[in-house]
Amino acid sequence: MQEPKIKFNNVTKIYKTNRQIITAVKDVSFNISEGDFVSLIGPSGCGKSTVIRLLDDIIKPTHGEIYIDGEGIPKRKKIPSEQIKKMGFIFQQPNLLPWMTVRQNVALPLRVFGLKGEKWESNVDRLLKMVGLTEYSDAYPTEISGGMVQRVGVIRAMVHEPEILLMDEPFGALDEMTREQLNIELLDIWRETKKTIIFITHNVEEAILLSSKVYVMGTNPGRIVSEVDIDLPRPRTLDMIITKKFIDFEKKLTDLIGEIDLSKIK
Amino acid sequence: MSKKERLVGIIAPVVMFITLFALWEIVLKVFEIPRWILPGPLAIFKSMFVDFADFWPHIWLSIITIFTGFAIAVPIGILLAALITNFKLLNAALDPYIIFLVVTPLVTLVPLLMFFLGFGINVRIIAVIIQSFAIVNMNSATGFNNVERVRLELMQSLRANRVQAFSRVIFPSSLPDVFTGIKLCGIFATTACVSVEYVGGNEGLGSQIIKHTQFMGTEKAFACIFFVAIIGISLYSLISLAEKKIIKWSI
Repeated sequence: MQEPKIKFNNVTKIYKTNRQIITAVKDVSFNISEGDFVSLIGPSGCGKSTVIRLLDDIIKPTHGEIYIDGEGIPKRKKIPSEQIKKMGFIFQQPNLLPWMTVRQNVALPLRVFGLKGEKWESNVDRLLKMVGLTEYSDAYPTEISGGMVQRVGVIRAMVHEPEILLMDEPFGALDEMTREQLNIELLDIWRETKKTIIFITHNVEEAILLSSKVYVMGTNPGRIVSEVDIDLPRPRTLDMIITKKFIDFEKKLTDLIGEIDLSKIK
Repeated sequence: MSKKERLVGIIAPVVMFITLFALWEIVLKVFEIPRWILPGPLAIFKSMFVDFADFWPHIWLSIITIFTGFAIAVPIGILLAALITNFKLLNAALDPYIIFLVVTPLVTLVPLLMFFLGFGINVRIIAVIIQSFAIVNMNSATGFNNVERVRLELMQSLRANRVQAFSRVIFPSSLPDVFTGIKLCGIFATTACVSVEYVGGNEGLGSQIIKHTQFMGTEKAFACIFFVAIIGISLYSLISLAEKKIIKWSI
C-alpha cells in the first residue's frame, strides 16, 4: 500500500488551565492519501479546528504522533521548514493584513519563507489571475468585497506551492451564492493542482459536494465518531445537489451529527 | 468627510476662540479688574509680539528640551515594550518599576536630579525622558500583547521567527496603541519640561513664568503660558498628522 500523505496516530490534545482540564481532541487517528479531498464536519467544540492546527504545528499534541509523507512532526522542537512549506493554511476569517495591498498579502509567505526570484513572483501574478483579481492587486483589503478577500486568503496559502491545503471553514462567513461560487472554484483548483486538502466545515451540503471522504466529529471530548466515503462521480457540479444519491448522503450525515447532539443532551 | 463638515471643523474653533477672548476682555472691563491681576488677551498677545526677542531664547530652550526628550523617550519606550512583551522574565522584573515611573510625579525627583547633576539643559532633558518614556512603553506593550490571535497563527503557519512576526504583524497591528502612547508622551514631555524649569534654573519658559509672576509681570507670565500652549499643540498636531499618514487602514 502507498504511504499516506498525512497520518494521525492516536493524537490527543489536552489543555490545562488553573480551573479545569479540557480535552480538545482525544485519540484521533486517520490516514489521508495524496491528492485526497477530505472534510471534517461536526458541531462547534468538536476539535475540528484543533486537528488542522496540530498538523500545521500551530499547537503541539499532548500524546500521539503526526506524520507527513512518513516523517513525524517533532514533538518539542519547531517543525522543520521543509515540512511547514508543504502546507498552506486558509483561515476562517480571511485574516489579511490591512496595511498591505492584495499583492503584498499574497506574497507574504514568500517573504517569510525567504523564497526569492522570478519564479515565485510570477506565481503571485498567476494566482491573482486565476481568481480574477489581477486588476485589484494594488487595492487594499478594505477596498474589495468579502468574496474577493476570501479568494486572496486562499491563494495566499498556495503561493509557496504547498502540497497540502488546510482550510478552516474558509467560506463560512460568506453569503450562500458566493460560497457556492467559491466551492466550484476550489474544485477546479483541486482538479488542476492535485493538492491534498483537509476542509473544515459545519455545512453538510458543502462537505458532500467537495469531498471524497467526510469524517464526522463529536464533542466531549472531541473525537472522530464515523467516516463516510462520498463516491459521487467527478467532476462535481452544483446540480448534483438535487440527485437522490446526494440527498441520501445528506440524510446519513445529518443523522450522524444529530446523534451527537442527542448524546450531548443525555 | 464632506467639504462642508471640513469647513465647519475649521471655522467653529476659530469662532469659539474669538468669542472666548472677547468675553474675557468684556469681563475685565465690566468688573474693572486691574491689569496686574489679570491682563486681557489683547495685552497678552501684544506682549508676545513686543517682547518676543526677550522670550525667544527661553522658547528655544524649552522647544529643544521637549523635542529632544520626546525624540529619545519614544524609541526607548517602544524598544523596551518590544523586549518585555517578548521575554516574560524581563516583563516580570520591570513591570512594577515602569508603573512606578508613570504614576510618580516627576517634580518630586527633580530637586534630587539637580543636586546630582546640576542645573543644565541635560538634566532637564533627562527629566523629560524619565517622565515621558514610560507612557509610550505602557501603551505599546498593551498593543503588542493584544494582537489578534489569528494573525499570530498566520505567522506560526509560516514558521516565522520572532523578528519576522514582530516586524510584519505585531508592530503594524499595534500602531494605533503605539500612537496613543506617543501622543501622551508629547503631552507628558511638555508638562515635564515646564515642571523642571519651575523647580530650578533661570532658563526656559517655566522659569520665566515663575519670574514674571513674582515681579507682577502678569502679562509676560501669561505670554509664556501661551507659548507653552503653542509648543504643546504643535507637537500634538505633528504626531496626529504622522498618525493619519501612517495608519491609513484603520479609518
